Amino acid sequence: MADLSPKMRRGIGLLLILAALGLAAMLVLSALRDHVVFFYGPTDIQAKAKQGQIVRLGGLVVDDSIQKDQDGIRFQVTDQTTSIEVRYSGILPDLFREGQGVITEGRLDGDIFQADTVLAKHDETYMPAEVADLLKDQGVWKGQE
Amino acid sequence: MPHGTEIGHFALALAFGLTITQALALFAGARSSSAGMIRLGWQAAIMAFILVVISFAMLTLAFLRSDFSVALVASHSHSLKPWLYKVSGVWGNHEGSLLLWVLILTLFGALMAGQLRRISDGRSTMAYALSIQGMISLAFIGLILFTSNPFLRLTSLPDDGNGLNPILQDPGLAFHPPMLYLGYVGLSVGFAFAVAALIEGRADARWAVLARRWVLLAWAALTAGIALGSWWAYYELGWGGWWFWDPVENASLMPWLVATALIHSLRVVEKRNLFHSWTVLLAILGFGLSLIGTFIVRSGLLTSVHAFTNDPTRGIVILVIIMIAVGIPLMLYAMRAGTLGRDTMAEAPALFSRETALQANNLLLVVTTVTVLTGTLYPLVIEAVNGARISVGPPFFEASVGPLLGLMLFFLPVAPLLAWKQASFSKIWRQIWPMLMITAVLLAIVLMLISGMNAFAIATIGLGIWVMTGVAADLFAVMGLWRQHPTGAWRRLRGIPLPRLGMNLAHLGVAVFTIGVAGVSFFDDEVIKRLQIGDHMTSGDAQFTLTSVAPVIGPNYNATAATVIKTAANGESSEFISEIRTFPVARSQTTEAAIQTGFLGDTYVVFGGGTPEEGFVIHIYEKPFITWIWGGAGLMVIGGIITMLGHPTRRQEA
Repeated sequence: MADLSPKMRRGIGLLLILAALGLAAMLVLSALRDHVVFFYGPTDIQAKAKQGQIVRLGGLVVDDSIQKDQDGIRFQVTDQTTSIEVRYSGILPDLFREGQGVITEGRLDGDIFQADTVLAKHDETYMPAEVADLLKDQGVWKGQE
Repeated sequence: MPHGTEIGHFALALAFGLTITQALALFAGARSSSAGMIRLGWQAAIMAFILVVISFAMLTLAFLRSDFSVALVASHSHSLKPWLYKVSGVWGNHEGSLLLWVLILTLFGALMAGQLRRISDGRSTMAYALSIQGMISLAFIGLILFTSNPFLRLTSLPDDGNGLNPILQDPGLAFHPPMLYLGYVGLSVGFAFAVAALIEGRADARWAVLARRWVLLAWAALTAGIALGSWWAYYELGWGGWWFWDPVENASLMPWLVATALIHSLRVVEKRNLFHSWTVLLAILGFGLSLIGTFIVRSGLLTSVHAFTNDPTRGIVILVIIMIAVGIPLMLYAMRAGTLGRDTMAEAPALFSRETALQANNLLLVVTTVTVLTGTLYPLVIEAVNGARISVGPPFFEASVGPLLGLMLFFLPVAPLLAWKQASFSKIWRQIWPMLMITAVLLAIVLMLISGMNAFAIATIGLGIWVMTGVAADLFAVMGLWRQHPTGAWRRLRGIPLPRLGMNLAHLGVAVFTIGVAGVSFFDDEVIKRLQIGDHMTSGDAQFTLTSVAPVIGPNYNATAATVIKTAANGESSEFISEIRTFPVARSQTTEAAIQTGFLGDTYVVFGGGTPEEGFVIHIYEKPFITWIWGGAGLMVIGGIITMLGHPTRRQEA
């Protein structure tokens, strides 16, 4: 390999770099296609999300809607226009409360949202940005702009 | 000191003036080789540091004394807080954390001044670098004074403070930001050297020797800072995870990846006088990414638990600083990059050489950085393009970053064995085949001990072992066991140069980390159950019994504590107490997980609340090898520091 001209060597180096970049671009694109998680509100989710596809659902937890039974927890999430029932079998985060913003990740199973994770931020006054935007879209946002 | 706050403010304003002197005097001094101007410059840098220390001390004092006439103290502290958290409250907010940032920035300035005072070789490079450092300090002190003043007083005195967000009230988080900032800000020194190289139009071996120790220090601090943050997230958030691919975590990972590439490419500049322009570019991007890391995230642009500020003026000022700090050097770079290596006559290396291996390392690290950046910014782009709200989570990063890291681990142990300029394949092969054999045998043993592993688990563990054999092979080479007589091997090992020892420790850390990741990712286990007092549940081969749920009164919180007794298969029992804490002042709750740490893994018990009627929720995670993750990071930090300490301060003619 020692008798390669500098030009050849540079060419091979460039090819290697392009190959690495190509590989990386491929990995990134395929990963993005498969693993991006869309966020919907209760109104959009039935129309836009496919059954079984992993998506995020955000909104407000409806007052007096939390029920606990042997299978886990059920509660309603609303954007003040539509509500959807969420089922979850894990531990709810510390600041999960009725009347507050919540984001859940999981899949649509018929009319019910089966959540794998429930995300809530550790601050009582905090409203997830996605949920705030959602309520603004529905024209029911009461907080600051 | 009733006017301590005013003294602090005044000291900061003086420091602002001194950094102007520092920047101008050093620039002029370096240009005209005027020893007097250079002396004035470094003296100003040291004075600026002392003044910022005074300023920072005054703010800390206000927090310690709970002086609620200071607006920042009133909104972020509380008289009942333990003293450690009063101190950490100083940087638990936007204004104070900026002051900490400036404190570290000027500390590096003072350290550089100390070196500038002593050296005779490369004085003008060092002076330019310290001048740039002064400009950065100037920008950030200005940012504090004009947009984020921490010393503002309140006209009406509140009864007590608002308290610190309770989740931040934790020793892990008290030390995580200063350590992380030490890393972020440390990269400013590498950046300052890069700009100095562009001004002088020269980035040679002497330049690399001057810059590399600083980058190693920054890299070690950044590694420690990220590891501390991850450790904190693990035991404080109560989710059992150690890395969430949160935008803030990604923001700290990106400069780390670039800094890792930089310490490797600086080595090539130093030893072989190659890669000049590439290295300078990395140094600029490394600091650029730390700026983006610290500030874009705070601007509230990306949703994250860490967002401090939503004030648009601050965001814009910070954005302007970033654009100037990255834009001007990049313009200079475009003009000067071609001339950086003009004085060197180094011949091009063969394709099969250590240079190529380090180039591959750099390429993979940078591609990984770009991948992480893509995933982090993609939601913003998509929302801007078609309004869809998406999130890019762990599955994306695992699928894209995972293979790139795997490729790096595959090449890692081979690179140190390769000779500079031109490596001989037959020589390398003599070392590689025993490494392959050992890896295969150890992996076979693991496969026999643990059944039912998937291909990813086997590959990850295999790569961890492979990297370990590489470390062993390099130590063998130090002992001369490949070609010399074994007598004297021990003496040769003890005489190992510190940088080489440091490199091997850091690489060993990578291997340990990899095995930790494999353990947690592929063999973790979790069970959740609703229990009454006296009920039990099983996890693995151990039994867990809930013995009590009782109230506890803390210094500034009330808690409910669940006690769980673990009875292992061999009859040994141990106690876990997990708490849910309610902080009345901040009106919020945190969960304290109970963690039993072991060499082979952790048992992690979380109390999920409940009532006597419907039962109490107990969540048990088994986290095999998780401590290896932080152990590996610790080895990397130690390796980095040892390399830095053993690094020559000036170029030795080989």
